[in-house]
Amino acid sequence: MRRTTLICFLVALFLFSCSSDKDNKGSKNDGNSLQKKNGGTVVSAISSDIDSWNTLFSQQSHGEELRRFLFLKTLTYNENLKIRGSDFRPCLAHSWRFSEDFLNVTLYLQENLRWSDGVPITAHDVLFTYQKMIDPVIGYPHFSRFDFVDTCRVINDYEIKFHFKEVYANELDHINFEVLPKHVFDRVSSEEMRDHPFNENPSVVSGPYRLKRWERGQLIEFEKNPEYGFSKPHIDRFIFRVIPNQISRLTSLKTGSVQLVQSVSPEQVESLQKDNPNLNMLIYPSLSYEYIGWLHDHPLFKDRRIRRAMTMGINRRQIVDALFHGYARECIGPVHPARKDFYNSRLKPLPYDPEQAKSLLAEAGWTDGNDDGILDKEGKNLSFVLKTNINSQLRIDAATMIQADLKKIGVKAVLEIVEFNVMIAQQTARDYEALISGWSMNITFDPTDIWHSKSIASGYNEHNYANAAVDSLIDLGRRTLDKDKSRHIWYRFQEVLYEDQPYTFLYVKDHVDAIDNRIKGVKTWPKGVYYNMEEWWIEEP
Amino acid sequence: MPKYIIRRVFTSIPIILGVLTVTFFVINLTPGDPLAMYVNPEISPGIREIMAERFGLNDPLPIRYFKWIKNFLTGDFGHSYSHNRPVKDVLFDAVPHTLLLSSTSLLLSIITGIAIGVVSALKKYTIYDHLVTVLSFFIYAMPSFWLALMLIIIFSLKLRLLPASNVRSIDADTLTLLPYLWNRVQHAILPVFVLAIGNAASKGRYMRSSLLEVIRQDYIRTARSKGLPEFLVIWKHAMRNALIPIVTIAGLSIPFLLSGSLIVEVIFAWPGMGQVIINSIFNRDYPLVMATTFISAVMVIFGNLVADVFYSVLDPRIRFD
Repeated sequence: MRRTTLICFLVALFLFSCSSDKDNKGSKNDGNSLQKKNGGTVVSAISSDIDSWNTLFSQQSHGEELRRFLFLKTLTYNENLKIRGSDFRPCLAHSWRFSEDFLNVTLYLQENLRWSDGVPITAHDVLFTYQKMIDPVIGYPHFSRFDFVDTCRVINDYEIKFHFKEVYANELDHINFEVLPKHVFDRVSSEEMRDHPFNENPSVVSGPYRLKRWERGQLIEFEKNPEYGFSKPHIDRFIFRVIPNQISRLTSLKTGSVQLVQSVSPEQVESLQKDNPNLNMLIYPSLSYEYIGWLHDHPLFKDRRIRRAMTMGINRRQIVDALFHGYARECIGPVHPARKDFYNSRLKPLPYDPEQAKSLLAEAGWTDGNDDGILDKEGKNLSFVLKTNINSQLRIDAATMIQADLKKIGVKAVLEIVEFNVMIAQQTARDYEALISGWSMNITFDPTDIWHSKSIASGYNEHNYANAAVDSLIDLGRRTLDKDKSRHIWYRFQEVLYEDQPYTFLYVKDHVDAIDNRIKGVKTWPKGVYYNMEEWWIEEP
Repeated sequence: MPKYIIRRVFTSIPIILGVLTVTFFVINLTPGDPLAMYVNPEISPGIREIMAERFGLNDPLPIRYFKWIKNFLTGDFGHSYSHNRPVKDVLFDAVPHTLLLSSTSLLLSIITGIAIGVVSALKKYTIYDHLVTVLSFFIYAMPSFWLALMLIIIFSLKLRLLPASNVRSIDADTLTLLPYLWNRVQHAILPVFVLAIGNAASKGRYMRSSLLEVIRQDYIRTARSKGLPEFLVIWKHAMRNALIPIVTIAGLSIPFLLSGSLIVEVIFAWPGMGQVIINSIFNRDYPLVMATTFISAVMVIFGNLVADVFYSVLDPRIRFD
């Protein structure tokens, strides 16, 4: 592809994604730029504190959400998880260019950006961060995102080129990361970085806000960063209070000492809305889905008919309605519905059909020969142990409903509720038959770690799922940059999984966030509510 | 007495080492994966091996044990896996918060418990006594999380008198000293009350029965018959002996000073040791589990020692030398 055609293609992509932004039902934008006021404070309650302000050492996923207040990334995303430049939302690069063979990407950085201490933000900062991220001494938790990167080279202060070992569909996603100020760590070795004061007190930042206060386990306060190179945020201060207990978080919300609480549990929504007319409920799909994982080496679950029968024998709609009060969606596979370019909307969830399930089981040889209500074959009952973890009441309740549903088709599921860490250890050791668990999906779409058979040995394919068709689709898809071609590949990938039912995909959970209705201009995306916090404003600050 | 204390301190060293050894092997042999937090498709699968190497989890258990003992004896508690920082820093953050909450509530529960117990013993079988008895059992039986939530609903949500969570208001730093202290007190009232009231009820029961036991003794009758005023009989003669069981209980409560209370801390968003201890166990954060076990073991032994010393203060007949 010639360079000009590529640019045309990107422009077309941009227009396409702009038009598709409008129909994002999850977002709520009642802001009108004329009325936006400056000032005010937003206080949020969060369930746990951040572990590190340094992206290199942070293990939790919600750390990233908080660090977005302080640090710009090289690139950014739109609400549909498509990568964009700083023309769309604040980030370091305003554009990029692929080489003709797609093995090189050059990022062009904005030239007017400065760190909060006045030092310009340049390609050297990007290179420095990249080098630390691949340094084994650092142990950056996401280091494998650079597996495809061969070299990284600074061309000049505002151009940086990444050279890839092979063509990879998510090249841009993988070079999108939080950038650290090189000059702060000038004479600091990688060993020393782990306990560097910057990790607790990030004094030099690039984002819309800077850290004013951090009282561990209690409070985080952000104030405006005067050196921020993009248009200044409207809200003066963001404060996060750490309140581990959900009821206490909601009490603080009701008394008005807090204006925003994320992840309200579904059964609370109705009463919260009724008693507190000043609250808006923001409801939109999250990146987390729940599933039943079947161990594929197991004599029962290596048979696709049995897996399909299990899925069809479980009334997933009823679980969504009863446990999630409708704040979840049935799930067809591992692609998130918000990922409009890849999500195969032609697939509908397998219907709840106990009769069909029974006949599938009969086809596999399981009938109720001894008339005890449990199917059997060669004198053995159709029974297995279904595990889940104790910390999640929703999972335990779902497990109970699943057990009851399966009983109706003559399958005996014995529940075993274990501690989360025990479940993980047993899953890693393949010491289970079936388990209810969940994944929080990555923004970057690459199913290798969970679905490719090579990830059985080194990855998260802990259900020993091996399907040559899936492997080759993944191998092909992750090397295809052409959007039309890759859409076909990923559609096919979902169809194969749908037929095969390696998991029983249960549901995608919704984010349910409660926010004071004086806070305006809030847009959401699958990663949470702070997507465009720099554009928020308060009606009467 | 000093000789006795020194002897007790020395005999407690093997006890503590024994506790730590047992804990070390039990927590390490318990199923569970300290690296479970890295199981996340957003995190590179290979990081688990890197971290296992860094945390020394690949070494055989006995080697890990000796390494841990060696570091421990040099005062190094190691690095917490889940907090990603030195164990000692984690403890330094949590201990002051817990100490404030637990010492206030312990003191309060002892004082109220003694007062309630004495009054109901002296007025035994009156309306007051029956009322206190019923109330004590009621309070003692009440789950503290329920009480905490009820108090939050009443005092924070309905009456808007007291804050529902955290140790101080957001802008408390900007206040002058007195309003600042008042702000801290307001935040502490509910959690301290929840922690204290159950203990006060049980201590009141102990105090009542022990005082009733003592005032039946001959020497009390003697004191009364020689014409001492009643309050002197009670406070000077009866109380000294009646307090001995309370001292035992108070001594046993000392470990609680540093272990905190998970439920109250979680509900009131109080960043103390209760949360640290429970999370360290759930996360299989071995260095942190070992450090908190060490603190608990020391506190238990210390509490017993303090109680023993107090016995001899209260009852000069008790001698250890």
